[in-house]
Amino acid sequence: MKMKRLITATLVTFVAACGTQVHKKDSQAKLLTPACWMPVAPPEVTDGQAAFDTYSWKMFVALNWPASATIRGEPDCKKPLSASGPKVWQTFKTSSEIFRVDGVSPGPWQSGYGSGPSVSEIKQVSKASNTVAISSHQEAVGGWLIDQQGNPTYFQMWVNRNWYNYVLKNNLYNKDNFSNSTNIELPWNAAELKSAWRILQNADDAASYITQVSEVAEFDDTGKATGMTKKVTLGLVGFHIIYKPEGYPQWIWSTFEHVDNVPDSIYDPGTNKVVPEPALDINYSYYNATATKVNQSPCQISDPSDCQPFTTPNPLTRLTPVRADAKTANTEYQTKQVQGTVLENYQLITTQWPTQPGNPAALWGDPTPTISANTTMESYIQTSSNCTNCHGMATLPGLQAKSDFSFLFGEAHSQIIWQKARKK
Amino acid sequence: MSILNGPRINFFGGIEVDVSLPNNLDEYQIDSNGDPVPVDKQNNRTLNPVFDSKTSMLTDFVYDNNITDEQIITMLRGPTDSHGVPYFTNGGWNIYGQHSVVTNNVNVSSGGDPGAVTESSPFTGQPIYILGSANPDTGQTGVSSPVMVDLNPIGSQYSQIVLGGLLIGDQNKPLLHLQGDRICSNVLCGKPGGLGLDQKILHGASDSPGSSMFTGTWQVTYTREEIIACGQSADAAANTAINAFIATPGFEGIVVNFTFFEMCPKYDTDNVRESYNTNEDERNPSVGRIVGTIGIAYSGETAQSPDGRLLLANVSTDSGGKKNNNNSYATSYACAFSAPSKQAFLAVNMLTTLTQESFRLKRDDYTSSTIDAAINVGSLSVTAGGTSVGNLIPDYTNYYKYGGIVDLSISESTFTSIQVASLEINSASGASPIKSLNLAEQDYRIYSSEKCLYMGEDSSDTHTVSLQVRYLGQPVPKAIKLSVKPADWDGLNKESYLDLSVTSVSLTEGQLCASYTLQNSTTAAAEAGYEQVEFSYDSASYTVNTRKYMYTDFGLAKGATVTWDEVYKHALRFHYLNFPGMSTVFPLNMAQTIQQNKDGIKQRTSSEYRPTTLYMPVVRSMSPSQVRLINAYSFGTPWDPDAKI
Repeated sequence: MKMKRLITATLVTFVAACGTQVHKKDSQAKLLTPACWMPVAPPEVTDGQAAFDTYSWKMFVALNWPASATIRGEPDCKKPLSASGPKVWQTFKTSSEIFRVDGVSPGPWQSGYGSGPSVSEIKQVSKASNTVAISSHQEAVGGWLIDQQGNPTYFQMWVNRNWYNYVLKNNLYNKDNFSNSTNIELPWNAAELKSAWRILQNADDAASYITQVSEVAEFDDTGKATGMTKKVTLGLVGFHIIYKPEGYPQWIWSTFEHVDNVPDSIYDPGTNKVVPEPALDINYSYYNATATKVNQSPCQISDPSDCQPFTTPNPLTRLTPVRADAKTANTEYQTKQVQGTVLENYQLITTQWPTQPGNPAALWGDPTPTISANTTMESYIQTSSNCTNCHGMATLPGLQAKSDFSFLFGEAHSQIIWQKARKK
Repeated sequence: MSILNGPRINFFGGIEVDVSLPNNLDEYQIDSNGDPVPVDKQNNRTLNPVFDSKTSMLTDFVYDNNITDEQIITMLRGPTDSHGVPYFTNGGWNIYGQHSVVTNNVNVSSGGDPGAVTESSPFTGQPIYILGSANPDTGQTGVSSPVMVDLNPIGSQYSQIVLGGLLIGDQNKPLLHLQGDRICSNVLCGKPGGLGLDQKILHGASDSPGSSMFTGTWQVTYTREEIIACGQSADAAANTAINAFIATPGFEGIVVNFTFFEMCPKYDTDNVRESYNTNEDERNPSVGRIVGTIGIAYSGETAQSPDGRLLLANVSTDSGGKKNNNNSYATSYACAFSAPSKQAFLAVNMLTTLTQESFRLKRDDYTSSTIDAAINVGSLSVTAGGTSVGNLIPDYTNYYKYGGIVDLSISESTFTSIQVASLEINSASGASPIKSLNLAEQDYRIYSSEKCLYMGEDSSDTHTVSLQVRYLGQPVPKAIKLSVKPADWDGLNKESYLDLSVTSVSLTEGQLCASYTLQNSTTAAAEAGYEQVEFSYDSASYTVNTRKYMYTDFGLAKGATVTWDEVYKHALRFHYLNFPGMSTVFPLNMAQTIQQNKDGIKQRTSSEYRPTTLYMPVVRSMSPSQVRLINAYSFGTPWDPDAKI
């Protein structure tokens, strides 16, 4: 599993002028936005795929900048990208923090941050001390994903301040209030993140991963939670960035993976198939060269309750090769912009963006490219996965009101039901 | 006649039609092992039945030979000819389509009253969008696109568009916003029976279906009550003008008439093969031009078919003296009108008759600000009953900016005389065939708003068709009887589930319209398929296409628990394989996703949603029995073949 990399953090000189966050959408803003801040001004639709892929990398860099110790969700631009400590996005709010089981207000965005514990302790509070451990192990479609070490892949969702404050302002943290909402419209510059994690082993090169120490749920052989948790070091293997910059009401969908997940792949005219191109010196986390059945859901297609044992690895290959534009952006960033940082071990898979964002007749803005799949999160539907199309179906749970492409509202709880349960 | 005899707002731009086409055929080149069979396109086609589009199920051939979904998908994605060279099957041009119909860079190009239409109108430059429906439950708009779904997916002349509205201007500050659900059929009048395709391009696009030479025309009418915003744009002059437009005397609604042409797949064979090879599976919508006109709907006008006098191109006369247009390639509509103290006009919509020599050079450049000029056939002489009415000189270069409509000012006496005489429009004699134009009026005309109809599944179900009948654009001058008979214009209509024992429709002198009630026969319940009915008189005819779903219990006992295997075989498998684009929303071949989305599926397959664009495109091919089966499986309810949906 371990891949030796020349991470020369001391050589990193990714220094950006840190200044006021730029909010204007103009060419000047594009030039002035420091790398530590989210790039507010998105490309124009006429700029094409390459521009959106570069934009994805800019977002990835900004989100992974060392976080401010005093302001939740903001970077410490004085630190270099390679500095240790929580990343900006790791100080965002997780979905379980927004949608509390008691349905009450989760409090101001800044609550519990800055004046109290240090950043590293905050992480401990939210992961180690919180009663809600990381327990989500199901992909959107197809069930769980077990890595080649026999451990499950964990998933966690996060939102930024704009997303959070919209929910807070409209009392949408409580499911009881959903029936009053006929139209969810999250604000510009809202961001929703989905992270996929695997448990790092001693043999893994932890330095090549974005990591966090977490209490994770344990499961029995059938995939049922035992109620027990264990403290582990997790390595980030997949990362969705869902961002709504001004002018893109259908959002921009970027997805990154750790480079050791699965090999690159290529179309082979001889077999008329996409085949993996494994490197000899990499032990991939989700790839098994001898596996005869790959990319198969652990559960029966006709019966999702009929599954393999929970520890049986689910070998994967990449079914849609990374597109040329994304490869170009990856090379640019991995060998220049983020070289020497942990980010050089990650690659952009796709950026899906609406080609007609302002056309009210275009279903979901006509997203391109059609297929966008992260092997760790859309493992079993790689050849049909389309972020916008899938999330375009999202509604408030139990209602028909569209929820602005977010499924997170499905995690909300009813305060009334909670209180009734308490009385009993 | 609305778009001809009243104020007009003309527009043009690009259009994308993203119909999913795996089921353009029922038979494919696949052998009993499920392997693709190289096909010599000229000879020895080895075709086996895979899909049954009538019942929306797979065939016995598939089940008898245990052919898998993967084999069928592989076959659809990668057919080769006998030399191993990839080519598209007829159904393979757009495997991953979503059925959406999307206007792209469509803008008002001109406006004004007949005879005074100008490119400098207050509306010029305003964007125009055709819209999807509002959600029937929440009222939310912008949640779906207009969709195109053929009544008969393996036919070529059954296209329908489901629309939810129209927007002129900015969606946040609309100049005019209409919201209302309509299902309109392609207006096809080029051949006997009202079927046929209007050819507009002499030489179609390369590496493209032959349809790239033809046009499709649709018309939809909205009522005053369906205007939900008007005159709210930032342009004061445009606001004033649109308010004046809807204040026009006689205004009862808005009619929108539009035509698609220069349509071809956005990507060619090599592009798509490359996309499929790398599993990028890009959609390949048909892209082209849209040209249209917005007018005023007056009282008594036909909502979804243009009123007016029908002129057919290249008409000959048979030995019996009847006019035939078997070699026709285009139609025009004409209307003469006059009002006190106003100039009289003969307005002619020549959009499809102004022929273009060749397809645009760059296939994906369909939103450019100009369209190729039409062939210049010079000055056109207009006659009525052989007497000259005047000369028309269309603007062959910019005709599309005016909706293809040409106005000829006429005197009051001419206006009177042409009410009783056949119109003809001819270019100068002696020109070469492709540089000539000869239009002759079909004296009698039968037409309707109804072209494609879904008959109910029960034996007792009926559908009344309203028929408009005209003679030279006027009420019939004598009592006539339209004959009614089954038709089969394309060899696809073998069923006889309709009771057509009433074989005529009578009209008395001076009558404008009549009706005929289509009724399923008493033995129709178990039948499924397509049947055409032709109404004709003299040289005029009109065909209504119908589709009937099969009522069945699938051999399951009432009250039984429906299993995944049963629901997949009988209801989902055909749609999973015929609509692969659906899998980008959620796959139909996984029990988990069906369960996860059961509420949405039930809602969007319900009768309430059927008139809307939110009704899932895939289920317009799904019978009510199949919908019931899916609901019974999804919700675990006992099987009831008569359950309400």
